[in-house]
Amino acid sequence: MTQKPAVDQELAPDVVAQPELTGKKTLGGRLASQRVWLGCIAGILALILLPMLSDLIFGGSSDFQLHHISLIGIFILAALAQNILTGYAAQPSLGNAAFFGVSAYVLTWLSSDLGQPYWIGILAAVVVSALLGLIVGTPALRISGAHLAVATLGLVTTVGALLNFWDTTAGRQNYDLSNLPDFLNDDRTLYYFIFAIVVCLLFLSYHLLHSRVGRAWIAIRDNETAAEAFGINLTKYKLQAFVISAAMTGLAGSLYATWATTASSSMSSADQTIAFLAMIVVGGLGSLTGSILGAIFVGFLPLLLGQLPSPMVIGSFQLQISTLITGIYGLLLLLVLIFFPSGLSSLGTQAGNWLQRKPSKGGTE
Amino acid sequence: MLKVEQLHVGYGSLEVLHGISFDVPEGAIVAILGSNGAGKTTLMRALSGLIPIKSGKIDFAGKAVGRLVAEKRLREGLALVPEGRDLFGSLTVRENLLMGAYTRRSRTEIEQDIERILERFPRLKTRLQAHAASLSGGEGQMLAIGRALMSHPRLLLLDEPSHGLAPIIVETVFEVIEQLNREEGLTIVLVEQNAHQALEVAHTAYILQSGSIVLNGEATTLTANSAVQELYMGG
Ligand SMILES: Nc1ncnc2c1ncn2[C@@H]1O[C@H](COP(=O)(O)OP(=O)(O)O)[C@@H](O)[C@H]1O
Ligand SMILES: [Mg+2]
Repeated sequence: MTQKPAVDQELAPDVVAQPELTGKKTLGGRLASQRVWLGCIAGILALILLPMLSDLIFGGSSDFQLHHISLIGIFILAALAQNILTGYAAQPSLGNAAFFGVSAYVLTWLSSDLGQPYWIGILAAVVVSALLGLIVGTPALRISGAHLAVATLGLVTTVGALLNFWDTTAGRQNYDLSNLPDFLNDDRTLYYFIFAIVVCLLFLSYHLLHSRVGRAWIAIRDNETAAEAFGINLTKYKLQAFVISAAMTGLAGSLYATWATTASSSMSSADQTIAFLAMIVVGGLGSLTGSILGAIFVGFLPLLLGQLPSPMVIGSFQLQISTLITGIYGLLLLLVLIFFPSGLSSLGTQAGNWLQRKPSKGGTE
Repeated sequence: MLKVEQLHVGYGSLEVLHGISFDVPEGAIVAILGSNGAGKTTLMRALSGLIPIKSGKIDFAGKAVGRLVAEKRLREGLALVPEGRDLFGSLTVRENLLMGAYTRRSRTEIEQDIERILERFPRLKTRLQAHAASLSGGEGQMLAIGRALMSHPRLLLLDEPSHGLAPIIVETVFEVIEQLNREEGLTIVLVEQNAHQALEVAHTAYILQSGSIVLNGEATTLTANSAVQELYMGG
């Protein structure tokens, strides 16, 4: 028995600077969780106040701005869904855009064509997406890596073509979503509606990811063999990720149709897929904050750039900004990936580390 | 406690283990020694159910487990400490321990076991919220063993626990193995290239060469065997 402490001390040479390190870890842990809470509260307050602020900042055209901010919320949901599947459960599936498109059509069909209540439409869209996730996920588990990515991308373009075919045979230019509840026709209440859902889902996701299920996903991602050795059913958890991700994307898709008051077959396209993928890569794989930052960057930046005055007059130059937007945007994307290869979310961690280190080093920096 | 008979295992059409038989009595430490590529890891994977066996028998505590999936074998009390530790790098030390208890449900029991394991490995206690990826080699090995203990095993399969560790750490790892055996009566199967250390703690040992067992006996006898000394202990 007396050997035990001895064993432990002998381990010490293997590790550098233990006492300070561990002391800081616990303090750091507490600070980190406080920061998370403060961040959440500040974020929610900001979301509540934003519509009033945007009145002050943008004046008369504020509804237009608010309308676009609502779009970020929808992209956050889609990015979150993609991140759960790819960043946490490590499934490089590109199929989410198919659920995004299908759910918009399900909602619009039920609401506009069949005159069903909006809520029934949303519910049906989410359920259909979840079922499709199950159907797609089952064979998807047998293929991996690049094969899975290409196969699911094929699904997206096929579904897009089918939806387009439906539009054509039905002889319609636009598939408009009518029959919306009144409050969703107002930009401000639509904004609150969307962000209430976003906040709820962020909260749920946080808990899911810190539960047995989330730990199982991360374990599978980190080391599939060890996960299996400890009794984690790989099939079950991967399938669960497919279904949850599809359902969440379905919600995002039906909200997008609500936002745009129309369903479009281009929602299930390779472009849309790339956008979802870019969001989580730019934001940070396996990070909730990353999903948010990525959605803002990829989803909103182009719109923001579109707001720049054009032509812009600098001295005697007249710059046709509008023709440069795609280029500027691409360049920014490139810069982010060069300077933050593990995503914008690492910015927070880096800043956090820096803040944490500063006091403990007694101002030697 | 563990009885392996005529075990054939391979990958696809490649056979790696050509009919292996050995016996592990309850409470024993049995070493299986072999050089790189002999099939040690393959054997450990086959025993824990991570790869299927082609033919042969694995009996554990009187039950045929050779065709059971990994989860069932873990529930029977057969736990693996994998080669290279295979920790869940982005989970914390605590979460890694929780993963070891994934097949168990009682929260209070699990918490008690974590306490017990941290008492055995106080080093881990100070690193509880650190990511497993940030652990040193020795700490990582302790965590890998702790994680396996969290499943309440009756038999521990250790795949090259000394691999990649500094000599002084190797010594402590082997001390821990001996302690677990002596204090908790845990039966242990130890696979090693490091024959010298392994034979010091093992009761009996088998020599594995190109997928076949070529020699076996008491650890002390094998230590004195000149062929073993020449092949595995650097003369
Ligand atoms: N996943 C695998 N697929 C195919 N062959 C493998 C695989 N893993 C190991 N082998 C082969 O099996 C043989 C034994 O390997 P292994 O069991 O890892 O040996 P050891 O652990 O004793 O070093 C080697 O020839 C190796 O190339
Ligand atoms: Mg090996």
